[in-house]
Amino acid sequence: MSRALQQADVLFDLGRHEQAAALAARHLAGAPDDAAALVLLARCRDRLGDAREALTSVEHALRVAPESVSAWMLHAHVLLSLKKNGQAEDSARRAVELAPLLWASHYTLAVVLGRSARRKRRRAAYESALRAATLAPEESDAHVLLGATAHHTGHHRVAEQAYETALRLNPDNSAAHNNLSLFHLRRRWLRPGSWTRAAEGFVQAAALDPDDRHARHNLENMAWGTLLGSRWVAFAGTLAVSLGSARLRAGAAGTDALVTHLVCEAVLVGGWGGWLWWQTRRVPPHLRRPLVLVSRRSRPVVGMALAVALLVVHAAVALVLWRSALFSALAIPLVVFALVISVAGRTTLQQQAPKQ
Amino acid sequence: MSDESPLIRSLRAAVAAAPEDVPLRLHFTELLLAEGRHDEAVAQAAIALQHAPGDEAVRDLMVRAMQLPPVGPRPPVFDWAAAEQEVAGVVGPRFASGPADAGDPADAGDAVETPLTADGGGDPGDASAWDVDSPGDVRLADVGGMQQVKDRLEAAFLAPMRNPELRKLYGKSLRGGLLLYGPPGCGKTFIARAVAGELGAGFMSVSLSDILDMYIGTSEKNVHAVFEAARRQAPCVVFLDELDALGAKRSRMHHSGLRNVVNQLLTELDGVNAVRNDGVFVLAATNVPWDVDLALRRPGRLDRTLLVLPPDAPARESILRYHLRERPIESVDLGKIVKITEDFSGADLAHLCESAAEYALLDSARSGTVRMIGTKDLLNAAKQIKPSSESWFAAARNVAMFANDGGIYDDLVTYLKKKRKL
Repeated sequence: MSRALQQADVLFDLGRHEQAAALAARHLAGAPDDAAALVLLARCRDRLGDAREALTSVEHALRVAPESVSAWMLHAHVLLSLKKNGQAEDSARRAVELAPLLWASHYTLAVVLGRSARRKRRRAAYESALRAATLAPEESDAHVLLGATAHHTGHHRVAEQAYETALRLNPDNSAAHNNLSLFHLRRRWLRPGSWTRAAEGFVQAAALDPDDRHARHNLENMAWGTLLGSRWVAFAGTLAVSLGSARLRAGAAGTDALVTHLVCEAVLVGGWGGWLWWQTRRVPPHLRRPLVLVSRRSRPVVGMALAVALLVVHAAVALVLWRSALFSALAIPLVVFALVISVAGRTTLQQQAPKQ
Repeated sequence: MSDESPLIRSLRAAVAAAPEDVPLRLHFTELLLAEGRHDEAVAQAAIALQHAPGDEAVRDLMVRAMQLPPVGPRPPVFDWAAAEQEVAGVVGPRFASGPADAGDPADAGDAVETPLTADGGGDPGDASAWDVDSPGDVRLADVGGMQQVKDRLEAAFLAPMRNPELRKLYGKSLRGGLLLYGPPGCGKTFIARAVAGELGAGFMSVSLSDILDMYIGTSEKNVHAVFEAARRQAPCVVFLDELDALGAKRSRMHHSGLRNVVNQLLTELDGVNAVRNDGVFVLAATNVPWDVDLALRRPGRLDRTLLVLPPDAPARESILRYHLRERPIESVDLGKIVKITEDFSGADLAHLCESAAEYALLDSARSGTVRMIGTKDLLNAAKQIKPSSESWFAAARNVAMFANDGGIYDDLVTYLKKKRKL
């Protein structure tokens, strides 16, 4: 390998894809049929988002060196990004055929098969990923892929173990942090502290990779989910105040009126006090800032917060203005508004979810 | 294009992949000329001229490509001041307002870089690894605007360096270095040179290509040699350019050579050799401090950070004046341009002036009447250009949100909050 090409390889490793492409291209000007340089150029172009040019380069490499495993693997990845899944699978299988003991070839095949929605192919992806992890037990990425494919095929225990192994091998693996946190989130109602661990994992994943959108989206989902839960407290308060004020308007007086007032206040203060106490315990100080910052820029979260806030304010004011039946009746549109906002928020979050 | 030679085809692909590689483009243009494809050669030479307007070789190639008679010795530098006086009654003043002499190239003096040439000459960051540049004339006062950066530099770095007695009194250590970070093209290298000038120290700029060698152990030796050269020629500022490459997170690297470079840097900064670091000031610059190995940022190493932001209004005005200094302009309302170029980096402003010149040139060519560059050209160009710092701020925002443990990015958080970006 020439010095220029070695340097291009290092630059690629450092994420300097443009500079690496320039060096590889310069090397190719003197040696236009160097398969290694063509593959490197294709990798750079692929990372720079130019899949078509990457395909041209890698196909040139395959014409020059039809037995190049790295070229076949890259060919599969590029075709996959061009959504030519069938051809990508052929290339990945060719790579496995050429190098059956190379973990990366099985990894490539698992990536390609894992894109399929069909259960049979997903199971094949899991098996390939398992083979890749067996061949390269010290490769963090192989375990992350094993975790993802196991997750998709319902092998949840294997998936969790794979993510934990990936993190043992590379504690800075952002994807492993994110995916493992999804498991913690799933069992938030079963194991105390799981919600907090999930939030910590997502924050860690977002901190490790500033360009990753999955962890941020998951945090946004968590913030929205928290407010969605608070909606029930708001509904309970509204219901209590509506019933109480109706009773007062119906003629309750003296001790009866006082008890009604106290019960409504207890429901409001107790409900919200309890909810706040629970959240304070659930969200430790170091998580509050990231969650608040994520929430501030999220429309679904801000919308849900507004809907809940309106219900709280209405309940508090309705308790004071209990004589006004009209004001009390405002609770109905506000509850409907909160329900509509929650459905709209869920839809928006689903639409905004980054692609896998 | 089917009759094209394979060499031309390869070079065309290479040039497309590396559009800013001027020597490569020149080589391609020469080949086109040799094949008699003058029109294509002119187009390639014109692009090369955009990247290296001051390069003699590019200009000569353009003359050859255009099949013009060879030019004689270059005319003396045009005296804009005299010409302006001469045509004062016909053509308006260069700027609509502001000091009349501010755009005079003579006054721009040493505070500004000379135009880039194809081999990178004139770029302050291209000194080879073992050459220590003698103390330069560049001072912080030559950096336009950026008062906050200068104040922070003075407090965190320069004042303790200049006042050994006070330093002793307060027990302030000279260990460690300063990490400049911020969006690309905002003058981090220039500031580092200015710091060297302020300290009256030599300047040694080190980048990845200076020390990278694939042979095991050689890269580390190069790092050691750089620091040894700086120690021999102290006082000296060692400037580690693009620290994210030299000191990238070891856990993410596959090349053992790069991991060893980081280890060696740690040894030089804070290891056994560090006791001889008196008079060696380490400055580093990066666009992505979050990709720098955490060990390099621990106390005693590059433990002080300074955020270098896109130029503020006074800095933008200085930069615009510099880039317009040799261009035919008339009644340019700099205030207006400065106002609409918020968040533009120095490189963006250079590109803006380039684009405005292109508009005026094209217009003159179409109409057949030469006209000056005006405010409108600059405004049009500004509308077309997006600040290159935008993508940087998108990543920086995420870092400020999630990775500000220990307050290492507090200044960034403050800035983002001030700009309502957080």
